[in-house]
Amino acid sequence: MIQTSTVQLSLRNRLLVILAFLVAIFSLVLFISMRTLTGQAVSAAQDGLLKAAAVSILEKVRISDGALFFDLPYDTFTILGSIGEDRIFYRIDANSAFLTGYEDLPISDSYGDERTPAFASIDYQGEILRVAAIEKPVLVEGQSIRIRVLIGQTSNFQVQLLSQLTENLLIIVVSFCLFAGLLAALTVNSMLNPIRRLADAVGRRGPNDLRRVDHPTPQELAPLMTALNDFISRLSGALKQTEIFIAEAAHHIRTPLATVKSEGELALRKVRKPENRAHLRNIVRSVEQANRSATQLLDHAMVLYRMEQPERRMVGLLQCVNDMVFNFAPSAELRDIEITVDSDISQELELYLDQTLLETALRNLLDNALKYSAAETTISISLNASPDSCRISVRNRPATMIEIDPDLMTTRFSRGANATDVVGSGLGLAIVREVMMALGGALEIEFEKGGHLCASLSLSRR
Amino acid sequence: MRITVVIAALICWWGPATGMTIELERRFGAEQAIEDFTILSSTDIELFAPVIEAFVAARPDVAIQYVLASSRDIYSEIDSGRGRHDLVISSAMDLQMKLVNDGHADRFESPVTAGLPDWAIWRDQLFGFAVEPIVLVVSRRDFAALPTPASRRHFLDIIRSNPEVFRNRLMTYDVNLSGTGFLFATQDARQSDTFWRLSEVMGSMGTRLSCCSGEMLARVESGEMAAAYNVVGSYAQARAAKHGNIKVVHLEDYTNILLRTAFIPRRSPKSRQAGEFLDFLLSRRGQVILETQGGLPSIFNSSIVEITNAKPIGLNTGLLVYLDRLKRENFLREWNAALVQ
Repeated sequence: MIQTSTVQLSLRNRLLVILAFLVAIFSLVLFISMRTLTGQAVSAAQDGLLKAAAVSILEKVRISDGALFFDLPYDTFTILGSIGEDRIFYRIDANSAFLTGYEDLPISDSYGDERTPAFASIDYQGEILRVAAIEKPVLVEGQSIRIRVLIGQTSNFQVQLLSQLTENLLIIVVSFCLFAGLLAALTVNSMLNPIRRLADAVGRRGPNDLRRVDHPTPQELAPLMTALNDFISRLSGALKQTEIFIAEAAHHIRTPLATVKSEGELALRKVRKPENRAHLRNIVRSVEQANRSATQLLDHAMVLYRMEQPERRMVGLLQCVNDMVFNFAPSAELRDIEITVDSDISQELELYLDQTLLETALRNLLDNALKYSAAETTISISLNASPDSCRISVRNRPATMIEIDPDLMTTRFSRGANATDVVGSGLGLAIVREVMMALGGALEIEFEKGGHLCASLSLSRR
Repeated sequence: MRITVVIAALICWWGPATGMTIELERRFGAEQAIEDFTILSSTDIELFAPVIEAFVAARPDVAIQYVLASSRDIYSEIDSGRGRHDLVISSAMDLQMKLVNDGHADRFESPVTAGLPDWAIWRDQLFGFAVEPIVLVVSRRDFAALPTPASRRHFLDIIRSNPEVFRNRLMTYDVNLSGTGFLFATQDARQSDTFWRLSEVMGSMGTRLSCCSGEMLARVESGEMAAAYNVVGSYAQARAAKHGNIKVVHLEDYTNILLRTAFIPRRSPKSRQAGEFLDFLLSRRGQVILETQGGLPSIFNSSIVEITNAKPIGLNTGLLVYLDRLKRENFLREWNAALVQ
């Protein structure tokens, strides 16, 4: 139903691409900012450890008998190396004189106090060292000496912690990304659902359904709906006008045609000359055909009108068939054709439908059967009913029988190859088919053995 | 401005290294071995020979030169950058840790080292391969009439109340000379204050100082000495098994557990072969040979850690603290003041 060949880029894909792009950008930004924050937190943690170590070294400085004593804290050193098995380097200076530690460790440019140590990252022995530098003045024998502690640690701790945290961070960001992507897909789907439902609703309509589309749609689709409904009403208006025009035309033609026909027949009785009689017969015959066509055009227009505004009521099926047979009895007698009704259904079986439509179908069907039947044959009508449906079959024996596609027979203005010498418009079966569609039934045409043609109407009982 | 810094004046061998004293050197492996590499070790050769022999038996193309030296000499040999050894083995955990911290060790990773417990490995550079309880050894003859010391405090009381038995008949490591002894003493000092009282009492008794566990054990075994404090457990057990006079005592207040460690020096010319040997040494098979034939308890031997109040010496950067020049000088001064009276 929905034509996709002209669709270049679907809304859905476009939305999905945009959302995916946004999610990716957002995830990236999230990852980078969280990674940065984590990095800062980790280096702050290391700085905190180094600060604590430097402070605890300074706290252990004692002065005894004018001499400086240091007591490097064992546990501090243990803790410093415990997380990332980092190498530790330190040096302690008194003013600018080296006291202990690693003499080749470069002195820091600046030393902070115990509360705010000076931190730096330096290159030492081929590794990046994070160092904390603290100094504190002490009095030794009346002289002020600045004790300077420089303690550094390799960055294994940072690297290890960061890689662990980054791994966790990646898991979080990737799952966020997937979750957001899924949500985006669901959102897009649910947003586009109304469009799909609208398309379905319009697609489900029958070919003659030209009512306004009254499907609930989101606000954004309102202009489309308005345009669609405008288009539909314009189309149906145009169609209606055409129908009315045809019906009027047929009606206007029928009256003069009837006059022409009766005048022709009168003239035929008076005229004796064989060639003139032949001419008049031709005229009468053509007028008859025109009259039939006009009648059928009227029927057709009526069917279309009734399809839109059916007048349904309970209709006795058998009664309806019998009435129709009664109407056709005189014309059948003229050609020595017998019409039999063979019914399996009760008199009381009623269907809820538009009687005029049903009668139109039956009339056209019987008319056709009568017209094409060979003389002195029987048209048998049988009625069957099942719990779900009713079936009216009209079986006749055409004068000439060429099997053609039943579908083609029900097309407007197409006629069977056997119909060339019979007056007809080719609208009869087309009207029957349209009526059956309007009634929710079906028309089936079958060629049977023995030269019979069977046309069946099936009607739903619901 | 003049700053007075107190310097330990008694023995100052911390200065520039003056060359290593090789105590023993032995070659393992076939004459025609194509490759050879050197192990520099402080572990007695009898204890270590079985595992080397098993290795060269499996690898006839490799020969091993085993060089025995004191842990201090090993330290200065590697620290000075002179040594061209391929595997360094020592019981002085602190010196080993300092060598690795100062960047003298190569990184070594293998499936075997990945299977080591965390406490036996540092930075994929330093690997513990044997555990040792540090014990008190007493002479059975002298202690026949005395109670077996239960703790350091108890041991102290026994010494005090029996000066005639212990005068000049106590032995311990000379921490000035022995790196391993220094480690034991500093770990003792960390553990309890009793250590300093014990040291003073031992000092007042005229305690003899020794370079090594072997010598102390021989003196106790002969009955010359009544007790030796801080002796390497595996050596003591090995002697006790052969000689009736030696009794090994695990003091209940705490027992330090030593980790014998090995690393491949950065300057090693044959680090690949050394790595192969290290893998063998740390493998289950190597560990079993080491324990059953060499008598060095495996790191997978849980019975050592289950000794009452076992205090395993942590393989961590805390070990660097007592090697600090000032801290070391302070410690030695205190120790010498207590023991060498």
